[in-house]
Amino acid sequence: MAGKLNLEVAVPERQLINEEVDEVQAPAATGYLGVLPGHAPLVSEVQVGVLSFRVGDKIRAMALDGGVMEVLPAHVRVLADEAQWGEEVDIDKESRTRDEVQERLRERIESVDFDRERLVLARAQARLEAHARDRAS
Amino acid sequence: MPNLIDLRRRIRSVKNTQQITSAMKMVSAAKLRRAQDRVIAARPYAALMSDMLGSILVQLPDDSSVFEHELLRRREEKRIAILLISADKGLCGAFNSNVARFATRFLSENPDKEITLQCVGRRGRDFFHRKRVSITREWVNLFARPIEFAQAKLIASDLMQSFREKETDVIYLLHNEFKSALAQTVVFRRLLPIQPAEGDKSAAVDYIYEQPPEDLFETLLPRYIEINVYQAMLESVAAEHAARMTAMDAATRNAGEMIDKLTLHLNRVRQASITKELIEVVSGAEAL
Repeated sequence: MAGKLNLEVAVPERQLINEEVDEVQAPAATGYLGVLPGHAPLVSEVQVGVLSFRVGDKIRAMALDGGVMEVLPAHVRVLADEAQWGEEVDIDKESRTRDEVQERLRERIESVDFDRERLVLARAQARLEAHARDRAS
Repeated sequence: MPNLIDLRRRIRSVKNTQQITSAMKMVSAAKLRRAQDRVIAARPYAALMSDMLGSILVQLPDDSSVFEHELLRRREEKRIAILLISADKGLCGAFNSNVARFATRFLSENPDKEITLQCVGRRGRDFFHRKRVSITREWVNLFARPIEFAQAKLIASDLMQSFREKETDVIYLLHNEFKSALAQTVVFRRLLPIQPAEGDKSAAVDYIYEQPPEDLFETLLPRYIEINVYQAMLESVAAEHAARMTAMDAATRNAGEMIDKLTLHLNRVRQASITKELIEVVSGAEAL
Protein backbone atom coordinates (compact mmCIF):
# COMPACT_ATOMS: atom_id res chain seq x y z
CA MET A 1 0.00 0.00 0.00
CA ALA A 2 1.30 3.38 -0.93
CA GLY A 3 1.37 6.21 1.54
CA LYS A 4 3.64 7.35 4.26
CA LEU A 5 4.04 6.88 7.95
CA ASN A 6 4.27 9.82 10.27
CA LEU A 7 7.02 9.01 12.74
CA GLU A 8 7.21 10.90 16.02
CA VAL A 9 9.84 10.19 18.61
CA ALA A 10 10.00 12.26 21.77
CA VAL A 11 11.86 12.15 25.07
CA PRO A 12 10.81 14.32 28.01
CA GLU A 13 13.33 17.01 27.13
CA ARG A 14 12.80 17.24 23.40
CA GLN A 15 11.28 15.85 20.24
CA LEU A 16 13.76 14.01 18.05
CA ILE A 17 11.70 13.64 14.94
CA ASN A 18 8.29 14.37 13.49
CA GLU A 19 8.49 13.41 9.83
CA GLU A 20 6.97 11.36 7.05
CA VAL A 21 8.84 8.12 6.53
CA ASP A 22 8.41 4.92 4.50
CA GLU A 23 9.28 2.23 6.98
CA VAL A 24 10.12 1.91 10.67
CA GLN A 25 11.84 -0.78 12.69
CA ALA A 26 11.49 -0.53 16.43
CA PRO A 27 12.61 -2.58 19.43
CA ALA A 28 9.19 -3.62 20.77
CA ALA A 29 8.66 -5.61 23.96
CA THR A 30 8.71 -8.97 22.21
CA GLY A 31 11.41 -8.24 19.67
CA TYR A 32 12.05 -6.02 16.71
CA LEU A 33 8.95 -4.86 14.95
CA GLY A 34 8.82 -3.71 11.34
CA VAL A 35 6.12 -1.19 10.53
CA LEU A 36 4.93 -0.26 7.06
CA PRO A 37 2.12 2.17 6.24
CA GLY A 38 -1.27 0.58 6.94
CA HIS A 39 -0.11 -1.41 9.96
CA ALA A 40 -2.77 -2.57 12.40
CA PRO A 41 -3.14 -0.42 15.55
CA LEU A 42 -0.83 -1.60 18.27
CA VAL A 43 0.62 -0.48 21.55
CA SER A 44 3.72 -1.88 23.13
CA GLU A 45 6.52 -1.14 25.46
CA VAL A 46 9.86 -0.33 23.90
CA GLN A 47 13.05 -2.00 24.95
CA VAL A 48 16.59 -0.77 24.93
CA GLY A 49 17.58 -1.01 21.29
CA VAL A 50 17.89 0.68 17.94
CA LEU A 51 15.04 2.33 16.13
CA SER A 52 15.68 2.75 12.44
CA PHE A 53 13.57 4.15 9.67
CA ARG A 54 13.77 4.61 5.94
CA VAL A 55 12.88 7.61 3.83
CA GLY A 56 13.33 6.75 0.16
CA ASP A 57 16.64 4.91 0.19
CA LYS A 58 18.04 6.86 3.13
CA ILE A 59 18.23 4.98 6.41
CA ARG A 60 18.61 6.67 9.77
CA ALA A 61 18.93 5.17 13.23
CA MET A 62 18.68 6.18 16.85
CA ALA A 63 19.27 4.42 20.14
CA LEU A 64 16.30 4.12 22.51
CA ASP A 65 16.37 3.48 26.24
CA GLY A 66 12.96 1.99 26.78
CA GLY A 67 9.57 3.64 26.72
CA VAL A 68 6.26 3.04 24.96
CA MET A 69 5.12 3.07 21.38
CA GLU A 70 1.81 3.37 19.62
CA VAL A 71 1.27 2.27 16.04
CA LEU A 72 -1.66 3.48 13.95
CA PRO A 73 -2.14 2.88 10.21
CA ALA A 74 -0.49 6.20 9.35
CA HIS A 75 1.41 6.98 12.55
CA VAL A 76 4.18 5.64 14.71
CA ARG A 77 4.59 7.43 18.01
CA VAL A 78 7.38 6.57 20.37
CA LEU A 79 7.71 7.96 23.86
CA ALA A 80 11.21 7.06 24.91
CA ASP A 81 12.82 7.53 28.29
CA GLU A 82 15.99 8.48 26.54
CA ALA A 83 16.98 8.58 22.91
CA GLN A 84 19.99 9.58 20.92
CA TRP A 85 20.58 9.94 17.21
CA GLY A 86 23.24 7.58 15.96
CA GLU A 87 25.35 10.48 14.79
CA GLU A 88 25.22 12.08 18.24
CA VAL A 89 26.70 9.04 19.94
CA ASP A 90 30.05 9.52 21.59
CA ILE A 91 31.71 6.32 20.30
CA ASP A 92 34.80 6.54 22.49
CA LYS A 93 32.74 6.88 25.65
CA GLU A 94 30.27 4.14 24.75
CA SER A 95 32.88 1.63 23.64
CA ARG A 96 34.83 2.29 26.83
CA THR A 97 31.66 1.63 28.84
CA ARG A 98 31.03 -1.53 26.85
CA ASP A 99 34.55 -2.85 27.44
CA GLU A 100 34.46 -2.03 31.14
CA VAL A 101 31.14 -3.74 31.69
CA GLN A 102 32.19 -6.79 29.69
CA GLU A 103 35.32 -6.97 31.79
CA ARG A 104 33.31 -6.83 35.00
CA LEU A 105 30.86 -9.44 33.75
CA ARG A 106 33.72 -11.76 32.75
CA GLU A 107 35.37 -11.54 36.15
CA ARG A 108 32.12 -12.63 37.80
CA ILE A 109 32.69 -10.66 40.95
CA GLU A 110 29.98 -11.39 43.48
CA SER A 111 29.30 -7.76 44.28
CA VAL A 112 28.36 -6.99 40.70
CA ASP A 113 24.68 -6.39 40.07
CA PHE A 114 24.31 -8.44 36.90
CA ASP A 115 20.92 -7.16 35.82
CA ARG A 116 22.08 -3.61 36.10
CA GLU A 117 25.35 -4.26 34.33
CA ARG A 118 23.56 -6.03 31.50
CA LEU A 119 21.28 -3.06 31.05
CA VAL A 120 24.25 -0.70 30.92
CA LEU A 121 25.88 -2.99 28.40
CA ALA A 122 22.75 -3.20 26.28
CA ARG A 123 22.52 0.59 26.23
CA ALA A 124 26.11 1.03 25.16
CA GLN A 125 25.72 -1.60 22.46
CA ALA A 126 22.49 -0.08 21.17
CA ARG A 127 24.18 3.32 20.92
CA LEU A 128 27.15 1.93 19.09
CA GLU A 129 24.93 0.05 16.71
CA ALA A 130 22.80 3.11 16.08
CA HIS A 131 25.94 5.02 15.31
CA ALA A 132 27.09 2.39 12.84
CA ARG A 133 23.74 2.34 11.06
CA ASP A 134 22.88 6.00 11.06
CA ARG A 135 23.52 7.56 7.67
CA ALA A 136 22.61 11.18 8.08
CA SER A 137 23.61 12.40 4.65
CA MET B 1 27.09 72.89 52.10
CA PRO B 2 26.30 69.50 53.68
CA ASN B 3 22.97 69.42 51.86
CA LEU B 4 24.66 69.28 48.45
CA ILE B 5 27.00 66.50 49.47
CA ASP B 6 24.11 64.47 50.86
CA LEU B 7 22.17 64.86 47.67
CA ARG B 8 25.11 63.81 45.52
CA ARG B 9 25.62 60.76 47.69
CA ARG B 10 22.01 59.73 47.35
CA ILE B 11 22.06 60.11 43.60
CA ARG B 12 25.15 57.95 43.40
CA SER B 13 23.55 55.23 45.51
CA VAL B 14 20.38 55.21 43.42
CA LYS B 15 22.50 55.00 40.29
CA ASN B 16 24.28 51.95 41.68
CA THR B 17 20.98 50.28 42.45
CA GLN B 18 19.78 51.07 38.96
CA GLN B 19 22.83 49.43 37.47
CA ILE B 20 22.16 46.30 39.48
CA THR B 21 18.50 46.11 38.57
CA SER B 22 19.17 46.66 34.89
CA ALA B 23 21.86 43.97 34.93
CA MET B 24 19.43 41.59 36.65
CA LYS B 25 16.84 42.40 34.03
CA MET B 26 19.26 41.54 31.26
CA VAL B 27 20.29 38.28 32.92
CA SER B 28 16.65 37.32 33.43
CA ALA B 29 15.85 38.06 29.80
CA ALA B 30 18.61 35.71 28.67
CA LYS B 31 17.55 33.01 31.13
CA LEU B 32 13.93 33.43 30.13
CA ARG B 33 14.75 32.70 26.52
CA ARG B 34 16.47 29.49 27.44
CA ALA B 35 13.71 28.46 29.86
CA GLN B 36 11.11 29.18 27.22
CA ASP B 37 12.90 26.98 24.69
CA ARG B 38 12.92 24.15 27.19
CA VAL B 39 9.22 24.47 27.90
CA ILE B 40 8.49 24.32 24.18
CA ALA B 41 10.85 21.38 23.65
CA ALA B 42 9.12 19.39 26.38
CA ARG B 43 5.64 19.92 24.98
CA PRO B 44 5.56 17.20 22.26
CA TYR B 45 6.27 14.44 24.77
CA ALA B 46 3.59 15.63 27.16
CA ALA B 47 1.08 16.02 24.35
CA LEU B 48 1.83 12.57 22.93
CA MET B 49 1.59 11.11 26.39
CA SER B 50 -1.88 12.42 27.16
CA ASP B 51 -3.02 11.52 23.63
CA MET B 52 -1.82 7.98 24.00
CA LEU B 53 -3.21 7.57 27.49
CA GLY B 54 -6.56 8.97 26.42
CA SER B 55 -6.91 6.85 23.31
CA ILE B 56 -5.97 3.66 25.14
CA LEU B 57 -8.27 4.31 28.09
CA VAL B 58 -11.19 5.16 25.85
CA GLN B 59 -11.27 1.85 24.07
CA LEU B 60 -10.98 -0.29 27.20
CA PRO B 61 -14.25 -1.77 28.48
CA ASP B 62 -15.65 0.08 31.49
CA ASP B 63 -15.10 -2.89 33.77
CA SER B 64 -11.49 -3.31 32.75
CA SER B 65 -9.17 -4.02 35.64
CA VAL B 66 -6.99 -1.15 34.47
CA PHE B 67 -9.42 1.29 36.07
CA GLU B 68 -8.69 -0.35 39.37
CA HIS B 69 -5.08 0.74 39.08
CA GLU B 70 -4.06 2.41 42.30
CA LEU B 71 -2.95 5.61 40.60
CA LEU B 72 -6.37 6.01 38.98
CA ARG B 73 -8.65 5.14 41.86
CA ARG B 74 -10.30 7.91 43.83
CA ARG B 75 -10.50 7.81 47.58
CA GLU B 76 -12.30 9.97 50.05
CA GLU B 77 -10.28 13.17 50.22
CA LYS B 78 -9.35 13.55 53.83
CA ARG B 79 -5.61 14.04 53.63
CA ILE B 80 -4.56 16.46 50.98
CA ALA B 81 -1.04 17.12 49.82
CA ILE B 82 -0.04 20.09 47.71
CA LEU B 83 3.12 20.17 45.70
CA LEU B 84 3.92 23.86 45.81
CA ILE B 85 6.47 25.08 43.31
CA SER B 86 7.99 28.47 44.05
CA ALA B 87 11.35 30.07 43.32
CA ASP B 88 14.56 29.86 45.29
CA LYS B 89 15.12 33.58 45.07
CA GLY B 90 13.04 36.69 45.56
CA LEU B 91 13.08 39.97 43.66
CA CYS B 92 10.62 38.67 41.13
CA GLY B 93 7.49 40.67 41.79
CA ALA B 94 4.42 38.81 42.98
CA PHE B 95 5.71 35.47 41.69
CA ASN B 96 6.23 33.80 45.05
CA SER B 97 3.47 35.58 46.93
CA ASN B 98 0.91 34.53 44.32
CA VAL B 99 1.36 30.83 45.00
CA ALA B 100 1.75 31.47 48.72
CA ARG B 101 -1.48 33.44 48.83
CA PHE B 102 -3.34 30.74 46.92
CA ALA B 103 -2.11 28.05 49.29
CA THR B 104 -2.93 30.14 52.35
CA ARG B 105 -6.46 30.65 51.10
CA PHE B 106 -6.85 26.97 50.34
CA LEU B 107 -5.69 26.14 53.85
CA SER B 108 -8.16 28.51 55.48
CA GLU B 109 -11.03 27.34 53.27
CA ASN B 110 -10.50 23.70 54.20
CA PRO B 111 -9.99 23.69 57.95
CA ASP B 112 -11.56 20.23 58.30
CA LYS B 113 -9.01 18.57 56.04
CA GLU B 114 -5.55 17.47 56.90
CA ILE B 115 -3.38 19.40 54.50
CA THR B 116 0.33 19.01 54.09
CA LEU B 117 2.70 20.79 51.78
CA GLN B 118 5.58 19.55 49.73
CA CYS B 119 7.69 22.46 48.67
CA VAL B 120 9.92 22.84 45.66
CA GLY B 121 11.81 26.11 45.98
CA ARG B 122 13.20 27.91 48.99
CA ARG B 123 10.78 30.85 49.06
CA GLY B 124 7.64 28.80 49.44
CA ARG B 125 9.25 26.61 52.03
CA ASP B 126 10.46 29.54 54.14
CA PHE B 127 7.08 31.23 53.99
CA PHE B 128 5.12 28.23 55.23
CA HIS B 129 7.81 27.22 57.63
CA ARG B 130 7.34 30.55 59.38
CA LYS B 131 3.59 29.99 59.39
CA ARG B 132 4.07 26.59 60.98
CA VAL B 133 2.29 24.69 58.23
CA SER B 134 3.44 21.10 58.09
CA ILE B 135 5.86 20.58 55.23
CA THR B 136 6.46 16.90 54.66
CA ARG B 137 9.07 17.19 51.96
CA GLU B 138 11.13 19.95 50.52
CA TRP B 139 13.49 20.43 47.63
CA VAL B 140 15.48 23.64 47.63
CA ASN B 141 18.19 24.96 45.34
CA LEU B 142 17.02 22.83 42.43
CA PHE B 143 16.60 25.93 40.32
CA ALA B 144 20.23 26.97 40.59
CA ARG B 145 20.90 24.87 37.51
CA PRO B 146 18.65 23.93 34.59
CA ILE B 147 15.97 21.47 35.64
CA GLU B 148 16.63 17.93 34.55
CA PHE B 149 14.04 15.28 33.97
CA ALA B 150 15.75 13.04 36.51
CA GLN B 151 14.96 15.54 39.27
CA ALA B 152 11.30 15.67 38.33
CA LYS B 153 11.34 11.88 38.28
CA LEU B 154 12.61 11.74 41.85
CA ILE B 155 9.98 14.16 43.08
CA ALA B 156 7.27 12.30 41.17
CA SER B 157 8.26 8.91 42.54
CA ASP B 158 8.22 10.39 46.02
CA LEU B 159 4.70 11.69 45.46
CA MET B 160 3.51 8.40 44.02
CA GLN B 161 4.93 6.54 46.96
CA SER B 162 3.13 8.69 49.50
CA PHE B 163 -0.06 8.25 47.49
CA ARG B 164 0.34 4.49 47.23
CA GLU B 165 1.05 4.15 50.92
CA LYS B 166 -2.09 6.15 51.61
CA GLU B 167 -0.27 8.94 53.41
CA THR B 168 -2.35 11.21 51.22
CA ASP B 169 -5.64 10.70 49.43
CA VAL B 170 -5.17 13.32 46.81
CA ILE B 171 -2.23 15.36 45.53
CA TYR B 172 -2.54 18.75 43.93
CA LEU B 173 -0.03 20.68 41.93
CA LEU B 174 0.31 24.42 42.60
CA HIS B 175 2.64 26.51 40.50
CA ASN B 176 3.03 29.55 38.29
CA GLU B 177 2.41 29.01 34.63
CA PHE B 178 4.21 30.91 31.92
CA LYS B 179 1.63 32.70 29.81
CA SER B 180 3.80 35.37 28.25
CA ALA B 181 6.73 37.53 29.26
CA LEU B 182 4.26 39.85 30.94
CA ALA B 183 1.72 37.47 32.40
CA GLN B 184 1.99 34.54 34.76
CA THR B 185 -0.99 32.72 36.14
CA VAL B 186 -1.29 30.46 39.14
CA VAL B 187 -2.27 26.91 38.23
CA PHE B 188 -3.87 24.55 40.70
CA ARG B 189 -4.78 21.10 39.48
CA ARG B 190 -5.06 17.53 40.60
CA LEU B 191 -2.06 15.33 39.94
CA LEU B 192 -3.11 12.16 41.71
CA PRO B 193 -5.32 10.21 41.31
CA ILE B 194 -5.00 10.67 37.58
CA GLN B 195 -8.09 11.91 35.81
CA PRO B 196 -7.82 10.79 32.21
CA ALA B 197 -9.06 13.20 29.58
CA GLU B 198 -12.53 12.31 28.35
CA GLY B 199 -11.94 10.77 24.96
CA ASP B 200 -14.35 10.22 22.13
CA LYS B 201 -15.77 6.72 22.41
CA SER B 202 -16.68 6.54 18.74
CA ALA B 203 -13.11 7.27 17.68
CA ALA B 204 -11.83 4.34 19.73
CA VAL B 205 -9.25 2.20 17.98
CA ASP B 206 -9.02 -1.50 18.58
CA TYR B 207 -5.40 -1.95 19.54
CA ILE B 208 -3.32 -5.07 19.44
CA TYR B 209 -1.54 -5.34 22.74
CA GLU B 210 1.97 -6.70 22.71
CA GLN B 211 1.52 -7.23 26.43
CA PRO B 212 -1.45 -7.00 28.80
CA PRO B 213 -2.75 -3.43 29.15
CA GLU B 214 -2.18 -3.67 32.90
CA ASP B 215 1.55 -4.09 32.35
CA LEU B 216 1.60 -1.25 29.91
CA PHE B 217 -0.10 1.03 32.41
CA GLU B 218 2.43 0.09 34.99
CA THR B 219 4.97 2.00 32.93
CA LEU B 220 2.69 4.55 31.31
CA LEU B 221 1.01 6.01 34.39
CA PRO B 222 4.16 6.79 36.39
CA ARG B 223 5.62 8.41 33.27
CA TYR B 224 2.54 10.53 33.02
CA ILE B 225 3.01 11.82 36.56
CA GLU B 226 6.70 12.43 35.97
CA ILE B 227 6.17 14.43 32.82
CA ASN B 228 3.49 16.47 34.57
CA VAL B 229 5.83 17.36 37.41
CA TYR B 230 8.62 18.09 34.95
CA GLN B 231 6.45 20.38 32.89
CA ALA B 232 5.17 22.19 35.95
CA MET B 233 8.76 22.84 37.02
CA LEU B 234 9.78 24.08 33.59
CA GLU B 235 6.76 26.35 33.42
CA SER B 236 7.55 27.68 36.84
CA VAL B 237 11.15 28.44 35.91
CA ALA B 238 10.11 30.30 32.77
CA ALA B 239 7.47 32.21 34.71
CA GLU B 240 9.99 33.10 37.40
CA HIS B 241 12.42 34.64 34.94
CA ALA B 242 9.61 36.47 33.19
CA ALA B 243 8.35 37.85 36.49
CA ARG B 244 11.83 38.91 37.53
CA MET B 245 12.44 40.57 34.20
CA THR B 246 9.25 42.61 34.51
CA ALA B 247 9.95 43.49 38.14
CA MET B 248 13.51 44.56 37.41
CA ASP B 249 12.40 46.58 34.41
CA ALA B 250 9.98 48.49 36.63
CA ALA B 251 12.67 48.95 39.27
CA THR B 252 15.11 50.31 36.71
CA ARG B 253 12.53 52.77 35.48
CA ASN B 254 11.65 53.88 39.00
CA ALA B 255 15.31 54.42 39.79
CA GLY B 256 15.61 56.55 36.66
CA GLU B 257 12.69 58.71 37.76
CA MET B 258 14.19 59.10 41.20
CA ILE B 259 17.54 60.12 39.77
CA ASP B 260 15.84 62.75 37.61
CA LYS B 261 13.97 64.16 40.57
CA LEU B 262 17.02 64.22 42.80
CA THR B 263 19.15 65.81 40.09
CA LEU B 264 16.57 68.54 39.59
CA HIS B 265 16.50 69.16 43.32
CA LEU B 266 20.29 69.19 43.47
CA ASN B 267 20.54 71.75 40.68
CA ARG B 268 17.98 73.99 42.36
CA VAL B 269 19.80 73.88 45.67
CA ARG B 270 23.11 74.59 43.97
CA GLN B 271 21.66 77.47 41.97
CA ALA B 272 20.07 78.90 45.11
CA SER B 273 23.40 78.89 46.89
CA ILE B 274 25.14 80.55 43.92
CA THR B 275 22.44 83.23 43.80
CA LYS B 276 22.78 83.79 47.49
CA GLU B 277 26.55 84.21 47.24
CA LEU B 278 26.16 86.61 44.31
CA ILE B 279 23.69 88.73 46.28
CA GLU B 280 26.12 88.80 49.14
CA VAL B 281 28.98 89.92 46.87
CA VAL B 282 26.87 92.53 45.11
CA SER B 283 25.38 93.96 48.29
CA GLY B 284 28.87 93.97 49.87
CA ALA B 285 30.17 95.97 46.86
CA GLU B 286 27.28 98.42 47.09
CA ALA B 287 27.93 99.02 50.75
CA LEU B 288 31.42 100.34 49.91
